Amino acid sequence: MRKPVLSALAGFALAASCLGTSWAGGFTAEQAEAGKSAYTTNCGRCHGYNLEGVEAPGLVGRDVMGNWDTAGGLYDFISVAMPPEAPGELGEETYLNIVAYIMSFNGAQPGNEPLAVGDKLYDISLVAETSAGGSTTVAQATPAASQASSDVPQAFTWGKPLPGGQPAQAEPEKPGVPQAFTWGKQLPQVGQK
Amino acid sequence: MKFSVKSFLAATTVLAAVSTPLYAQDTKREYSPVTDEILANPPAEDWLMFRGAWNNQGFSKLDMINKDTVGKLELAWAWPMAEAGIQETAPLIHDGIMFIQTNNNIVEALDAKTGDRLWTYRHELAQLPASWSYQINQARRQKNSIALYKDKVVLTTADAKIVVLNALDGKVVWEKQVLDYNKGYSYTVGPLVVDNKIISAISGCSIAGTAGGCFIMAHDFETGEELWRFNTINDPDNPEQQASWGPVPPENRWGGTPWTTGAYDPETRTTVWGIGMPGPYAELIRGSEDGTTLYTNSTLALDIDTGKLKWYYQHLPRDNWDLDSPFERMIVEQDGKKMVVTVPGKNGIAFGLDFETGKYLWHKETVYQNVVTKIDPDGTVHINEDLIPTAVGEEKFICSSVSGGKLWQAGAYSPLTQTYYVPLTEACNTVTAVQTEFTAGNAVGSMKFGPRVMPEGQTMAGLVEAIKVSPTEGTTKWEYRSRPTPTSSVLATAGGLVFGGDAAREVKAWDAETGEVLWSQRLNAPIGGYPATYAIDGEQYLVIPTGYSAAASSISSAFPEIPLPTGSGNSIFVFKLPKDK
Repeated sequence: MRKPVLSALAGFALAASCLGTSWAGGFTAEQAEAGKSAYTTNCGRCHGYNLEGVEAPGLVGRDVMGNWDTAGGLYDFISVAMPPEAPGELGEETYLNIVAYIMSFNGAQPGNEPLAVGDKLYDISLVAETSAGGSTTVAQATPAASQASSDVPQAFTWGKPLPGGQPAQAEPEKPGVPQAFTWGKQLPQVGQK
Repeated sequence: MKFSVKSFLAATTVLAAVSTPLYAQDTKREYSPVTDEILANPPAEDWLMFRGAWNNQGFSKLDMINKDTVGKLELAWAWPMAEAGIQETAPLIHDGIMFIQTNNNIVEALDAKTGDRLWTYRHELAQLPASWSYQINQARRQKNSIALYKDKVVLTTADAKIVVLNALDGKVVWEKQVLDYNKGYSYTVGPLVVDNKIISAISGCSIAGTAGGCFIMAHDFETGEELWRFNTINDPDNPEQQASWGPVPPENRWGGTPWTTGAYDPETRTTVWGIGMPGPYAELIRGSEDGTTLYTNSTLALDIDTGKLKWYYQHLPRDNWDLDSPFERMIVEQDGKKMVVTVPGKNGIAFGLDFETGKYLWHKETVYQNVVTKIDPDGTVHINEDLIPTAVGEEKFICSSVSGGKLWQAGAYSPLTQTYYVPLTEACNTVTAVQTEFTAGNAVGSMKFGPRVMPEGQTMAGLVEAIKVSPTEGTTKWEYRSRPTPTSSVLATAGGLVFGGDAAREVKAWDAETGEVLWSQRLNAPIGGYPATYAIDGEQYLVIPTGYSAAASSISSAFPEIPLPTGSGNSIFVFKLPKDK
């Protein structure tokens, strides 16, 4: 059952390291390991064995995590639509393991509590869980030619406080990548209108 | 004028080849230059442009393969593409040579009669950081065509270059870095070449670094010099365009990508292009309030000599759902009246516009959609404001889906039946606005999409709709519904046939009048790309691309009884009629 998403504001979570509190990924090392195997045999050909994207989109990076929002958001999609040759047929356990592996690859740390279908799945922010280690993973895979992220244009609102549920935060550091016009502004959040 | 490869090579020796093709021989072959005169009236036996002619109709005058003979088609030859990736190739054929482009900007020339390879050009693509996953994936995607002009092949690349090759040997004549791929710019559509102008459009405009600029451009065919550029999201000449983004300045605007090669009218020297969605996708995140975000989701008519805008018409204002409207614009003439006819956007609504003025003439809905509520007689499009996300995390159910409805697969128009044949998908998805920090090489959509599902009560995801076109209306001539979805573009022919194929690997020939399936053949992978036809030595050939299909993969849960292959299988299959006994 889907529940309203309590979205951690990606940028705030990243910019303010004090928000980096996590509950250790919400998955176990065993799940991520099993997920690696399942990913490799079911997903890797299209999405890339390093999740880099070949025919199908890449699954690495902060914005990919942000767009799926929560472990539940990712699970809801893949457990219906993936893999295309057997959509929805891998079974709940395997889909959860694959979510765990994708989180792990992006830098999330395993813990004692296994990922499980239920409301809590939608409380696990992919950005928050993967932010620390994820950037490390990506940086390691990034050639020297990489453009510094500080050069990327951001939306007009990037860095501005937006209406919504987040209490006033320290002003995030102004990022170099262009951000949305609304970035940093407090936007309305579900359940807080 | 025809000339041999020897004199041709001698004439071009002074132009240093930047890279050597893998193979170059066949010294006896002759190749006549593809002139503007030939392009204006292409011979039936050739297929010189991505949709066969400047009007983008996807129609062939050949009729040897027709309703009576199509059942006898047999395989002439097949060829594996040089690279995996999404199969969207548009084969071009001239003087017995077939030119195909595949992912990562590999171009191959094949003997169109025998299937022998003549040469291969493999572009050296710039390596990108692994974290730029959206851009890397986009760079490997194939979007329609290359162009033939004079004795050259014109290629636009995933690292934002124009490359001009010799048609006979595949050697590079010149190449130019047009825009900065480090910002995210890439070419995913091929150019239109006319009157020594390479008219192209850049992609990657939803990648963070490209903020503020998405361009249709013209370059000199001989020198590569830039002649003009038109920015689809920042037009200082039009205050209405500026105001349509609300408070958002150009440096926080994205999108407006022209995803499909434009049509051209030589009489008025006008080119017509379709433009994609705005970014970020939801106005909540975009910051554009209730602005229409011009020229996203519009048709633009540009003067090819100046690049100036003649007119525009917006098919979907205030897009909040990534339902972009960049697909094929066709120029159709009936009783002396020229129209733009198109299903421009993912929501599947067909439009007729006056070609001279851009004035709205008619529209017609096809697949189920819930985002447009009404279109006034003056062409004003009203959207369903209840579906606009108003809070982060709020989920809306949108039809069609982000994968269409309509997608890149082009429809075809037959002047004989005055009918537009359009491949479509019945699909919906949830959308949820999210707030994300943009990173280099990645898109600014800021939207979570749910899986593609069919509209309530619908069990047939696939639809080929035949729309009878007139200056006053578009009406349904026939509908062909199926469980699997159409995954290729469509070809209409003077043989009274319409060719296309689906996710179930079936290529089909429909009776253009009735929609009856007159021939079908199951192949190795979903049918893809742009089917084309040509003739050599008095025999008509039909080329059918197959391979990996994102369009099939995104909606395969709608037809689980038809499993997709797990290999990409990117190939072309060439059919012809048996010789008379």
